[in-house]
Amino acid sequence: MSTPSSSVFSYRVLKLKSSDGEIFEVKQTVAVQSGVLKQMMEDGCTEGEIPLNNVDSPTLAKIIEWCNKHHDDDVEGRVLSQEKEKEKEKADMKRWESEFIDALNRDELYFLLIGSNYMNIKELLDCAAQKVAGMVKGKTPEAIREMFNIQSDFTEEEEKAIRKENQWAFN
Amino acid sequence: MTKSSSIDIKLEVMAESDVEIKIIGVTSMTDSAIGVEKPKIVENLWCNLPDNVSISILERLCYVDQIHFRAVCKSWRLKIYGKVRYANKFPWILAIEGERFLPIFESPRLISMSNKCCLYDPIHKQKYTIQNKVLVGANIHASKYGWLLLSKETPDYRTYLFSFYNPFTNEIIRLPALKMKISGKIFSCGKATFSTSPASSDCMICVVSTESSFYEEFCVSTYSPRGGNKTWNNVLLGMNRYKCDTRITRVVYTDGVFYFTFAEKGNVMGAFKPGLKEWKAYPYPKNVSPSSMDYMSLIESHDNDENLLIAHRHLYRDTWDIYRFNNKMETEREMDWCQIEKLESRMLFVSATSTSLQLEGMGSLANTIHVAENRHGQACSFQLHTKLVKREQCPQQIFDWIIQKKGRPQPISSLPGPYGISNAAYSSAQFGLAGTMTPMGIASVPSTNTSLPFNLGDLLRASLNASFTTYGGGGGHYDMRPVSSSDNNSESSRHRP
Repeated sequence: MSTPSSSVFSYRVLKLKSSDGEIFEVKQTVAVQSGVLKQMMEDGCTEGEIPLNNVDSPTLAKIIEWCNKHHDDDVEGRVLSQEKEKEKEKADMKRWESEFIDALNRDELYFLLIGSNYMNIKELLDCAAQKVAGMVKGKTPEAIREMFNIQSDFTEEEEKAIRKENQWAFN
Repeated sequence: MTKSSSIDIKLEVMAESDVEIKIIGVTSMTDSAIGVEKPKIVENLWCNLPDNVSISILERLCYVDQIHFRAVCKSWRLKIYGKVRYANKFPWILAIEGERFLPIFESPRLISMSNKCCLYDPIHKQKYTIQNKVLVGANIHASKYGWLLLSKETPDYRTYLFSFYNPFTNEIIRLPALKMKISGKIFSCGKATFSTSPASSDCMICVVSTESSFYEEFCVSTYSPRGGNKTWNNVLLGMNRYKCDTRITRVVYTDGVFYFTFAEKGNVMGAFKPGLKEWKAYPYPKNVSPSSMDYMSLIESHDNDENLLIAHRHLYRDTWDIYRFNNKMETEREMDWCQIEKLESRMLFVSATSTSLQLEGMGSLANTIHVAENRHGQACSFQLHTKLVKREQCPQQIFDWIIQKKGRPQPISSLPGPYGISNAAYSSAQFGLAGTMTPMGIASVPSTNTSLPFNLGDLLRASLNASFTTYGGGGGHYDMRPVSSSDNNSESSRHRP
């Protein structure tokens, strides 16, 4: 990104292909938030469609929405550069992030985790992980299973052994 | 809302490029496509989280939530769990129903009288009761790295059986028997500590015991499990030219050396490096004298460069001085104590049986000293602003270390009088896991024998203090008397009002 031609560079777009074959175009300056895409750009192998086999189109749309939002914020932040406004922007962004995450249903959240992990977008992964942590907090294993629609795959003996290991935490 | 914005993005993308125009069609499909591509009911979808995503979630959970998370399904039960950090490193308190036999200036002993101990998580205000018969009659020596070091004596008092107990996982590691009849003399077990987590083969246990007829000799016994070793290594030592009796009050470990303090009149601190056949003596800081009525405690600190600290409390002025030991064992004359003005981000836990230091991320509890006292279960915390802080200048808010389910703090005078004296150990939520554990000290609180968990909770809640109100710390009141004098006064506190 430090190339002298970065002003030209920033208008170039990447073509991302979701697992279900949909093509999304993303500015390179936006795509750089993805560790994987950034690496590809640095290696100069972003010609043509970039297949993202673990990310379907609704998830990719969400991810791009996130990246666009955070990209815009960066640019404006540099221009305004007033301390107070920065603070406000930060708070606004926090609110936007939590609204963004809260609007997802359970499985959308799952695919977002998978997608952001796959594309290595740390901030988004952190935000989504925080959301899941908040959902898990204070709940019993049974309640967590119910919430995420998980069937226990432990045998009865294993279940007993697990509880025995930290019995105090299950009372 | 988010659906429409996702469409917006694609339109924006399209506007900038004239390639791949077919997006339009797909975009309009997106909303309806969700249901098709991701059926609403996918069994066990969430079981497929990649490990690093699970770790990212785990790291945001507190200790108990992590245990619950891991109990959900096999794939969430990560093998590397022991290395996962958890969200809140705040120390827990471990309370043990026990009895103290000797005044603190002598050899403070903490002996568990029941099979129960209670863990308190001060952040989530939860109390957990743990039972294990290994606790019954066990002498508790140290609490660190998530483990308690316990010992029991054989009926003839000539053999000591040491074991590690992890209250979080109920794991027990038994050590080979330590025979205390050495060269025809009987040694009584003084104090013991250990160097690192007993899960590590590097762990070394050190017991310093005293020849119990003349108090002129002492013995340092060390044991390391490395290489399947089964024997203790005993080194008999005399007092050299120092005139004090050899009863040991504390043993701590830092940076490869075990340090110990002698009973009342000991005017030097001892240091023993495993492998050597000798011990070294170091004078205390000028203003610190263990023979005074002031209170002094050796504290091991596990920050980046391991430190040995002395916390010295002037009872008359009621101030704390903290000194750090600068020592190179090789160059005897280089040793020095330097006074610390501030604890920075650290908290000190000062208590009867062991003491310790907690690091980083403590918010406004940074730079505080917490004393758990056994008199009426009092414990105090105060900010160490500078040296010689006067008591009334310190912001002494009560911190709600102890979880209270109902009721207001009782006035001290109405607390039930104890027969057995119970004891609290600061513990840490890292307990039971490999990793950077923070040791917590052990202190005493009174309790009745019959209804331990509830009464203990009451007592402790009324007792410990802090500087946060956000955790619901509330007004109890507290007594600033030192641990030592509380022991001396324990007779008078045994009457039920």
